[in-house]
Amino acid sequence: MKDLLVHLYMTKLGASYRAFITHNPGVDARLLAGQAPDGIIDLLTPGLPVGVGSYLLNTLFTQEEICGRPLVDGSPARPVLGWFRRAPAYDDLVKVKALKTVKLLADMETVFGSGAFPDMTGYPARSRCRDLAPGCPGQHARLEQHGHVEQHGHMTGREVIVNALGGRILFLEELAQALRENGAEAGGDLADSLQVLALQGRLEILPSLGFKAPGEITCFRCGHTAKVRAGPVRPGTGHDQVYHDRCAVCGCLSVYCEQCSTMGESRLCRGLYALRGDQAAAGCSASRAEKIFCAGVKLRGVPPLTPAQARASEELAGFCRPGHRDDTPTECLLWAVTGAGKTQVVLQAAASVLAAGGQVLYAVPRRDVVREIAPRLRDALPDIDITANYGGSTEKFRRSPFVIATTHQVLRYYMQFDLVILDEADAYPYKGSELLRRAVRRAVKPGGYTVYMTATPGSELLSRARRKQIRLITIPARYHGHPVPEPLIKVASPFIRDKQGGCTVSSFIADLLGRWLCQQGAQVFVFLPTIGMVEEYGPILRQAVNGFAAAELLQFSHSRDPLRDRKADAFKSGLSRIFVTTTIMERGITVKNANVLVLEADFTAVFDEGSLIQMAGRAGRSAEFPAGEVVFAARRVTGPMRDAVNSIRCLNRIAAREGYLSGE
Amino acid sequence: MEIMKKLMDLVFPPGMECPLCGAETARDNLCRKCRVKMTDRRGFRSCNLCGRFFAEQASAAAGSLCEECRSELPAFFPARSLGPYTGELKEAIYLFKYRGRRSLADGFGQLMAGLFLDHPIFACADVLVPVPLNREKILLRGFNQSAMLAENMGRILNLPVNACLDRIINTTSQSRLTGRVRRENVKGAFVPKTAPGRVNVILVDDILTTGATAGECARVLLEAGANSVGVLTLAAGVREKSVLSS
Repeated sequence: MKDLLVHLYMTKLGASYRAFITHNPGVDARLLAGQAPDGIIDLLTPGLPVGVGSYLLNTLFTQEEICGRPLVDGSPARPVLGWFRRAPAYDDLVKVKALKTVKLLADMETVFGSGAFPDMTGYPARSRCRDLAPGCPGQHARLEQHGHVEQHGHMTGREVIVNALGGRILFLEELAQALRENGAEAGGDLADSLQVLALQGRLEILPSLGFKAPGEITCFRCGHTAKVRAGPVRPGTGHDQVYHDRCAVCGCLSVYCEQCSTMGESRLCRGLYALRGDQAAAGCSASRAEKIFCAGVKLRGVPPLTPAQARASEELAGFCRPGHRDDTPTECLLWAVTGAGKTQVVLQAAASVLAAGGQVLYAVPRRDVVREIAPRLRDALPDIDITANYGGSTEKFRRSPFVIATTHQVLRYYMQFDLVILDEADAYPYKGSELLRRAVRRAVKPGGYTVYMTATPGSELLSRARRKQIRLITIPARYHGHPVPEPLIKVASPFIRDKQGGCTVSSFIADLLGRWLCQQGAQVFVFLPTIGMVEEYGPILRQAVNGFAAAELLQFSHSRDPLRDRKADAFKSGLSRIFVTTTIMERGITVKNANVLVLEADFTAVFDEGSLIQMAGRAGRSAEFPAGEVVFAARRVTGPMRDAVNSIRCLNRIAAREGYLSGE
Repeated sequence: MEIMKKLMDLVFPPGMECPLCGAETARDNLCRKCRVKMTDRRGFRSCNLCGRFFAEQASAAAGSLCEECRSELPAFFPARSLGPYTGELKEAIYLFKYRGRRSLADGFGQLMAGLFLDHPIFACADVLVPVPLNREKILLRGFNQSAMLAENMGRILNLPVNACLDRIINTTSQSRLTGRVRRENVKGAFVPKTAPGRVNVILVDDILTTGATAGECARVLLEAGANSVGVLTLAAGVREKSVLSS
C-alpha cells in the first residue's frame, strides 16, 4: 500500500499560470517545460498526504486556476474601476496563496493537533522547470516513453492505461492489477505516468480519504462523511467509522475509513485514480472497437415471453431507449412477483443497450447469485463478452461490455455504464447500506439508466414511484400463469415445552409435515428466525418426522454451518425432503415441488413483510407443481404477516384482472 | 419520521456504536453482549502454562499442563488469553487484523487490561512489549495489531510500552505450519533493539497458536536481561488431539 505524498505548486507558463499537486515535481516540470521552456514552478508545500494536498488545491484555487488561467484579465477595462483594479503580478499571487496555505494548514492543525503535518520552513520554493527536469526541455517524444507501460497491440502506453482505468475508480495497486488482467504490464513508475495524464486533464487524482472542511472528513471511495468532534483528536481513537492514528506508511497523522475497509484501506495518504467511462470512450480507440463488436447482439435460448413479461419487456425497452427528455426519470422499479421471470424481461433491454454500443451492469447483492447467474446470461448472450466480478473472481478488472457484479465490487466503477440493473434490490447487504447505494449510483454514466428489480420493494422505492420520481413497471403474474400461493396464517404455538424443560412439536405442525411428506416428491422449507432456534428446534423437528422416513429426511442449516452448501445441494437434488433454515435461504434455493412453513412468523425483528413474501415465494415456482402450500405459524398475527398475505393477494388479483392467470 | 428522529437525537443524543455489532452502547467500546462473546470459554479448559485450550471432554482435572508443556517448558511463564481462537472471537480478530478495523483495538485493549487484572500472577509486571512485525508486513497491513493492543492496554493500566524487539527476518506466515516447523520458522527472527533491563515483561500478541513466536520472543528478551516474561493474547489456539493431565 504505497503512500501518496504530494506537493502543492503553482507554475507560470508564459502569460498564464496554473496550480496543481504532484508527488514528483520533476515529472510535472518535464511536461511543463515542453509548454514553456522558461516556465517556473513554485512549490507551496512540502510533501503532504494527498488528502490534505487535494483539499488545499481545491479550496485555494478555482477550477480555472487549476486548468490554467491567463495572468492578464482579458475582460474589457471598465472606465473608472478598471484604473484601480490592476491585474495581480504572478509573484504577488504566489505570496498570497502561500500565506493562505499556511493559514489553512494551521486551521487543520487545530483539529489534528500541532505538528500533524511537516514543517513549512523554506516554502514557497521556486525552481525553473528546466532545472527540475534536467536535460530534457520540452520533449514530447520522451514523455510518450515516460508512459512506462509496454505497448499493447495498436494502442500506445497511455491508451493502455486509459483503457484499463476507463470507468473505474482504483487504487494504484488495483490499477496495476487491472493492467495485468487486460494484458499489459506496468513497468517503471506507474504513478509518474498517471501524474502526466492527470496534468493533461485525462484522469482525476483523488485522495481515498480527504476533507470537505478542516473538520469534516469524506471517504472519496465510499462517500462516507464524518465530522471530527470538537477539540484536537487523539490518535488511536475512532468515531463514526473514521479512525485516527499515525500512519505506519507515511508517518503523518492519518484517518482511516472503516466503512469500506473490507475493500482495501482508505486513508489520508492513499491516492485514488478515476476516469469517467464517457471520457475514456472519447479518448480511447479500444472502446470504439467494443462498440462495433456489440452491434449485432442477439438473444439465444431464451424461452418466449408470457404476455405479462412481454408487456413489461416492451415498457422497459422503451424506458431505456437513448435520447430521453430531461424531465423523465432515469430510474425504474421493476416490481415482479416471485418466480415471474424478471431476468428474461431485462435481457431484452440489456441487449438493446448493448446493440447501441452501450455498456451494461447486472448487479446483485450476493456473490453466490453472481456465480449462478453468469453462465445463464452467457448462454443467453453468446456473442457478448461477459465478466463476472465478485470477491475471489480472477477477472475483477477485465473490461467487457456486460459486467455481472456484486454490489460491493460496483464500488470500483465510476460512471461506466449506460444501463445498471440491480437485482434483489431489497436484499441484504444492499438493503440499508448507504455505501452500496452510492456505489450503484456512481456506476451509472450521466444520463444512463438504473433498473431496480425486486419482488418486495421497500417503502422508499414505492414512495418514489408514487411521486413519479422513478418509473414503475410491474409483472403481477408468474411465468407459468398460476397465482402465487397465498399463505395460510395459523395462530398456534409451534413448540410445546413441558415442566421438565423438554420440548415437543405441536400436533398441528407434526400433522402438517406428515401430510406434506405423504405427497409424492414434495419437499418442505421450514424457516425459523434465528440460528439459535434452528439449532434448538432442528433436532426436535427431526424427531417429530422420524416416523415417516430415515433421519436424513430432515436437514437443518444456517449461515454459520460449515456444511451449509452440502446440505443445500442435498435438498436441491431431492436427497433430503425437509430443510430447516433461517432467512439466509429465502432466495437461494429453488426446488420444483415445495411447500413452505414459517415457524415463529411473529418474530418481527427478522421476519418483515418482504422476508415473509420471499419465503412464501419458494412455493409453487415450477409449471409442473404450481400450487404449493404456505403456512405462517405464530402465537399472534403481526402486521408484517397480514401485509405479506395482503400483498400477495393484491398482486394475484391484479394478475387475474389483467388476464395473466391463464393457468387457473 | 426522519425529522422526528433528528429531534429525538438532539434531545437525547445517541450513544456510541459497538464497533463489532453496531448496537448502541453507552461506553466508547464494545457492547456488553460482544464483550461476553469475546470472553466466552464455555466447553473449554486451558493449559495452566501456555494457556492453549482443549475441548472439555479431552481434558482431565483443573490445574493441569498440556503434553507439550510437560515435555518442554516454554520460555515464558505463563500465557493467558481472552478465549479460544474459534467462533465470534476468531471472526472479530479477522476483522481487526485483516480487514483493517482499527477501532476494535480500543475494546480489545480494555478486555485484555481486564484479563491482566484478573490474574494476580501478572501483578509484578513492569513493562508491555508488543510482538514486532516486519517492516514489509507493516506496509502491507498498515499497522501492527500487537502494538495497538499494547498501547491501549498501557494507557488503561498505566504501564509503559517498550517496543524493544525487532523482527529481522520476514518469516513465512505461521498460520499453516505445524508446531515444530513453526519453531524452526521463527528461530533467529527476533533481536532486541534495546536492552529491556531487569524488568518483568508482559509480551502482547493477537493469537497464541503453538506458542512458537511467543517462546522465541521470550527467549530473546530473557537473554537480553529481562527478569521474567509473561504473555497476554487475544486468543489462544485449540488443541483437539492432546490431553491435559495433572
